[in-house]
Amino acid sequence: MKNLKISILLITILLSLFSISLLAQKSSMVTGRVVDEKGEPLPGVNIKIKNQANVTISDNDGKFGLVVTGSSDILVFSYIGYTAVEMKADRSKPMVVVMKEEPKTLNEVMVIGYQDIKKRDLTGSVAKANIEEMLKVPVASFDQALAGRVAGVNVSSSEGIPGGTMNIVIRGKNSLTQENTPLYVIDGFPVEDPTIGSSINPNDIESIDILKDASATAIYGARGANGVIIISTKKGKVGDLTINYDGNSGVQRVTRKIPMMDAYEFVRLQTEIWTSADMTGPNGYLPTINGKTYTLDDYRNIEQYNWQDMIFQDALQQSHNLSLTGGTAGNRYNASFSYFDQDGVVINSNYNKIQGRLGTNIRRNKLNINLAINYSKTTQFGSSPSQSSYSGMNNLFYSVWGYRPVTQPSVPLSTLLDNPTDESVDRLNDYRFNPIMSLKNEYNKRTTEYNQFNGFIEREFIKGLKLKISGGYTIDGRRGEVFNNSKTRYGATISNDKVNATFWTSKRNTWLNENILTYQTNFNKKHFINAMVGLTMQESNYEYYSMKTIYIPNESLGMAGMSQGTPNNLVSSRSEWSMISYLGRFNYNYLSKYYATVSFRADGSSKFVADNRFGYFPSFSLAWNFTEENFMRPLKSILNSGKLRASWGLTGNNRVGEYDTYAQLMILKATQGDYSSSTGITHGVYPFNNNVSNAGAVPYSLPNKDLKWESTGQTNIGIDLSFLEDKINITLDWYNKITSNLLLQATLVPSSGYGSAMKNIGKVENQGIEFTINTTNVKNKNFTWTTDFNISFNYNKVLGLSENQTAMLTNGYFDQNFTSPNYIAKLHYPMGMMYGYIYEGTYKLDEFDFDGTNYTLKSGIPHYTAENNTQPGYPKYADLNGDGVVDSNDQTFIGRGDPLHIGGFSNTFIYKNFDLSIFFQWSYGNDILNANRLIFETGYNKRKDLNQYASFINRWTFENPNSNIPRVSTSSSNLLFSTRIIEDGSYLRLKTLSIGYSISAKLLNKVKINKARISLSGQNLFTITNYSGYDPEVSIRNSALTPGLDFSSYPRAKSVNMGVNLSF
Amino acid sequence: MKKIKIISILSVLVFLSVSCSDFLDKEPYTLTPETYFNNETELETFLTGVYSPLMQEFFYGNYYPLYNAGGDDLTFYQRSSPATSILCANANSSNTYLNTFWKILYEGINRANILLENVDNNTNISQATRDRIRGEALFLRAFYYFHLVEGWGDVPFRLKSTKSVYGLDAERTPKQIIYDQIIKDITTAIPYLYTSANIPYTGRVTQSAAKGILARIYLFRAGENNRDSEVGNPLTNTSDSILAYYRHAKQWALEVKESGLHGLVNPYKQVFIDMCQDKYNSTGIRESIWEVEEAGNRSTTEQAAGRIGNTLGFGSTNDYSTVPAYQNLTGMANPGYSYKFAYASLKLYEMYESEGDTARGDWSIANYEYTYDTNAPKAVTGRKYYYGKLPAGLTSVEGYPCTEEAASTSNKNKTRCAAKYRRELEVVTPKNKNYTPINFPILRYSDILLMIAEADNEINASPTELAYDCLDEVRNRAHITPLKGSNLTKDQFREVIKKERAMEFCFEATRRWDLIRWGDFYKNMINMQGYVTKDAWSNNYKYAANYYQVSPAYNYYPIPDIETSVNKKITKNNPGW
Repeated sequence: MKNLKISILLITILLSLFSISLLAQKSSMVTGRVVDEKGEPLPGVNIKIKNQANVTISDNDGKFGLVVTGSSDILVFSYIGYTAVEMKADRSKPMVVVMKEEPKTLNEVMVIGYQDIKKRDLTGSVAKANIEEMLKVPVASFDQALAGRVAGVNVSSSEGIPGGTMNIVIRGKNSLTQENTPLYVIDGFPVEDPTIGSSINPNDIESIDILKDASATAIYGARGANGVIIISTKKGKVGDLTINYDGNSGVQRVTRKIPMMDAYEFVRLQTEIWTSADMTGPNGYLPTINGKTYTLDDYRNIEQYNWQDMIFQDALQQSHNLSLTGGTAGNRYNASFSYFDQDGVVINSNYNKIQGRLGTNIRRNKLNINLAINYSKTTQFGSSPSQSSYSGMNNLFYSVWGYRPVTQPSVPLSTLLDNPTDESVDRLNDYRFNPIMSLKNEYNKRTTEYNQFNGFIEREFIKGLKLKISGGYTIDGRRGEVFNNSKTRYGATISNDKVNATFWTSKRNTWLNENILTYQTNFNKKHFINAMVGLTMQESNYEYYSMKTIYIPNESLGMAGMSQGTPNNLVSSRSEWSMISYLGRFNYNYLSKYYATVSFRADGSSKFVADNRFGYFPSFSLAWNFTEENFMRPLKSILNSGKLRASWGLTGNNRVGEYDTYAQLMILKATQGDYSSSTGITHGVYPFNNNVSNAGAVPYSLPNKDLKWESTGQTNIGIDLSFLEDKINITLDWYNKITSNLLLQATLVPSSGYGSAMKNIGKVENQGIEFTINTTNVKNKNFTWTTDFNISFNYNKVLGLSENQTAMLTNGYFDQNFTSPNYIAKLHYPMGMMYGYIYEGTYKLDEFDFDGTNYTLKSGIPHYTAENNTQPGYPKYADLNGDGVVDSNDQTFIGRGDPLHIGGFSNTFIYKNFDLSIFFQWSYGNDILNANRLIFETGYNKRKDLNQYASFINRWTFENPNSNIPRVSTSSSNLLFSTRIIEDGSYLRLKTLSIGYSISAKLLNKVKINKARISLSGQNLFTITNYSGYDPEVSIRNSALTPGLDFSSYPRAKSVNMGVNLSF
Repeated sequence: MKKIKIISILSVLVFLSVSCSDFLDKEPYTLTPETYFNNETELETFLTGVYSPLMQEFFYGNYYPLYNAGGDDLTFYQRSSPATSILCANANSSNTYLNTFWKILYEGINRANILLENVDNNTNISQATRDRIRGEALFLRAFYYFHLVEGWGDVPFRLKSTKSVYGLDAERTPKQIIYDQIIKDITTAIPYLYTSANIPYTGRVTQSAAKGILARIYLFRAGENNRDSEVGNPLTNTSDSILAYYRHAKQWALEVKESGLHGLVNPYKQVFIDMCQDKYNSTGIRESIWEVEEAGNRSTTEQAAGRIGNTLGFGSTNDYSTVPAYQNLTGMANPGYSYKFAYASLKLYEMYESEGDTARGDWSIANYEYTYDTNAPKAVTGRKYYYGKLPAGLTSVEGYPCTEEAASTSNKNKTRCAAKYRRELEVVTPKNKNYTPINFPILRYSDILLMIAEADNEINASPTELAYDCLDEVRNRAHITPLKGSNLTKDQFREVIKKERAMEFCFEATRRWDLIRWGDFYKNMINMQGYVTKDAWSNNYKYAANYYQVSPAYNYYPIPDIETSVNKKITKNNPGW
């Protein structure tokens, strides 16, 4: 509590300082104009008299006026991105000052955590994302445009749902069962939750810096092991008020549909499933009615439904950003407002966001004060079609694909559309539900409101010594509302709960205080020293409440009528954690030739106890600007800069529950976890005397006082090269990360009475190479062409698992009938490998003895163990151990979940007022476990009236005996995980294409507009892949152990947008 | 001046860090064992958790009686593709039903251990209450261990709760050591427990239940040599100890009999009707000594309902649970859905036929099917009894007409489902498709009687009057010929007991264990193949032959691989696994 008070106190001080105003002075004038090399005016240039306090800035036309005291005064012109100019003040005539653009890359300011540093002086591996390029397409949050932009950063989404959170993994996955998402630092505020990305308006982002190696991340200590993404938002810019509007609107369409059987093929399939008596009976597909005998051919070109066409829509998307900024050198401000709205390509799904931001910056002498407020509210309608249920049959696309295109002559076709369920479906075993009706009636809304207050006060005490005290407070409030009326899957009369409603709410409040002291000096202009020490404190508390009522009598009231139902489920929980950290960094450089950096952080966390409470995270790095050496001088005209870097450091991952060190008791009423879970704890209900609600307290978890941080030791060696005056820039990094004391939800000996516990056990290695090249191919007055290319390779290896375990099997869950393990993490192999049988095609006729009626498998040919009557056309799997039967011992690796390499390739062209950028992004070498095909390419146990993929047309039949697609049968071997359903998930995608035209300044001046650009952009315009599902960028219920699983995933959209950007 | 500034800055930092001494201590917002066990309610609530494993789906709530204990000569799995299980003779060490059963038993043991360690934390709670709770926990721990020994033989043996995540490996303790502790614990517990007269419901363990289970344990222990010789294990009983075990079994069972608290209900089926109808010994005669309680229909969060009657049992093949007009009806109007996984073997059918036992035979094996109209939702229109099974004079039930199959369909008699647990009797509405409130019997008084008879015959090398009396009490209730005075030899009497127990306790998860302790398991199972080619079976249930092709290894369960993959102190599985 005390600390909270301190923070309040600090904020109060900040606010009072805010009101201090500035005084102005007067004397004789010098005037002039600042222009760039092209002669265009440069507004906002900072102009000061050397060794004096007088400061001014150039106006929108580049003009300035400044009072000088003597004729020998030197004026210093400085402007970000331009080389500073010093000029003698000339009062005789208006001065013309030409400023040259700096060689961009080396002077880029990198934000490395608690400090900024020029790229030239960097010793670690830090990459800057090109936010300007990323924003050439409208996106809801920056992470949606990050894929392929930065080497070593793997960004993917689980599926194509609007507003879906991106999975970002930096330099491979460290943790088997815990989160692998990086730490986000937004204006200095560290946040572990990846959904934070959506709270920031991408247009408000000034820069995104990604800390990759340990020398960079170790300053974030116990939270740095997964890499750090530092987001800095725009601050107010000195100058007249500038108003900027950026608007986009466009349309999205699903990238592909899956070909399904048409009416003819569907009925042909039914003839193999139905008995012929039923088929030709009055309720069959081939009846005789009024003397007409229906044949298969009657189903050609008949009226039929295509359910995918009905469920998908051309969806609109729009975004509007309005921002303003301005101020003086002493007092700057900025504000922005944005609105984003995106309909999903699946009907009744939508994502929208309202966001606003206010910021102000005050500088007075040696004081620098900054305050910012950010508010965002995101609203998501519609639920994920892939992860809502224990039974995969409840997932949306089971019904979309499975619903039949046609009915028997005795059943009007329209009944399919009009009724909630298909009357011919066996409802006991098949949960198909009219997908159109259900989707249109489902109400599922989630909102996230995110408030962030940030401020700092910085004061320089003596030259080079600065103290920065910052404080921040965030409120992350979420709520969800679900209402299932009688026309929805979960609320219909056939459902267990009938009309039902759920409401939940959660809130996380976090505050942060940071106190950073930095000192910068040099000795003899040879030894440069920059040191920083700091103390930070953070505390967070969380609460969650939810309630559900069922059997709601009056559905017309919607959520308002929730209280009329029968209370069903109440959940409440609270938790809190706190952290205190001490940190320091020491940078030394000798003549900008030799660099050394040492950093250190000690993190104390409430999540751990006793001796393990504090974790210590050091790092060391060296760099050598070898082109500064004399012997390199001759090459300087070609290789203008070259730097070798080496670093080692230790970082941590603390993603465990707040109370994992404690033994916990719970009043458990229902089984925890999935049906398949063998590690969950059995509930405690025992209904003495038929008392249904008599639930017992059960030991839920074991204490583990020894629990501590997961620690990752990372070595990085890198080289940065710039050729031909920065026309070619190359960065190459090699790294090796070993994560030990893995926080693992480790399997315990079941006879202990517990299934699993969080333990520090196991070890994982990631090793990789990253290569980035940026080139300026052409640059002249009218035409500029630049190319960026990056590629990264990561190889992940499990080095240790839970005590005595050599492999950890996992079930990537999608349906209760498919719970056998399909993923494996095995010692000395990558985690997330797919696991199952090797498919060898179907059993062919010549493998059988035929006695005229029955086919009997020839002796010596292996068969699936659970099957005693293997028939021709059944799937055949490799008998790897040669014991004559195919059984669980014949399972092996069948695919890899993670890619061999990923990358991006972009080209931008500027010709006069036109600009064009083309960005490709790829992933290579990863496989996808296409579980859809277990159901939609097997006939699914001869399930009646279940439509199938068109690929199943070519199945094995006696007429098509060479096919390797299994025949229609009830063979349980159809449902095994095998290489049959593993597909190459590699892809190359034209991620963005944008064309813009900037209207010339002359025209604009007449309408008082500074800048105007119109653009046309496209996203996901095409994807080259062999994957047969909706999209190869898929990983439902994504986790480190189960990457690349596809079942009923939300399809991806391509979009085309028109945009306009105006600046007043 | 500069120095002052620097000092002031540093002092601010120091001040901030000093104030943080307790900043990192966060007490959890959840219950912890350290702060629990303060009062009687908390002890009772924890005890509920110790009981809870019994009602789980992986124990008596569904899978154990069906898949794990169902692998006997009276039951077969009526599906065209087998469920991987002991029942279908295709189990392995990764079998879900076995693995989870193992896990649940040890969860129960650990819960009991925690309770036993903390029951005396607050001595202000009355000694009697603490003792009774201690007694129930001791008994349950012993009962769970007995299930482990019965299934797996030598197993890890833990009498202290697990307190750390480290060092959990444990070797297999010889079963005789575990038996000794089981017997000691139950003997200790008995005086602490309620008597059956004290509590109106049967879901809680009582003195009678503990004594009867103790008798059962002694009988099983007496038969250990039989199964060990089948699988080639070294024998662990001496002939003296075996005789002693029979004596103890008889003594404990007699104590129940002589308590006068229990008797047999007439008709036989009433005891199961009560279980289906959420009643406890409704006739006032306490035949059911101990049942596993299941309740409700899972319409609330609490998962108190099991699946007895739904998987193992009898109901309709039409689901009315999702039809609003039907779901709240009971009786034949909505007979509840049943998968009817368990069917009676021809051997069991013939046992009843040979004795003319209709009281038990026509209840244990379905004696009718429902008839339905042809329109959705295919409402029940009546009962069609199998040939010869229509009770004389019965024309209707609940207003629904009863008819009889024609003689030409008499073969259907031989392919019928287990019907001890009948969903049409359920009273909880709406009736769920899968979840039922039907209780499962663990110990009935007829078992007490037959245990006395069996043990007595073994002790005295021939049946005494007591043995005949006990046997005939059971037979008389079933309306079959009493055997008193028939001068049976010891061996003949034992065979009679074996058959009697089959007819009395089929589908009650005891037959498999009886066969094993008698040393009959392998022999009986292999002999079942004779039935598979017989009569109607040869056409319809040819595949059932596979289920009976067990190896002697099935005398034991395989130690689950979830245990052996992490517990490196277990190096050897049971013979044949």
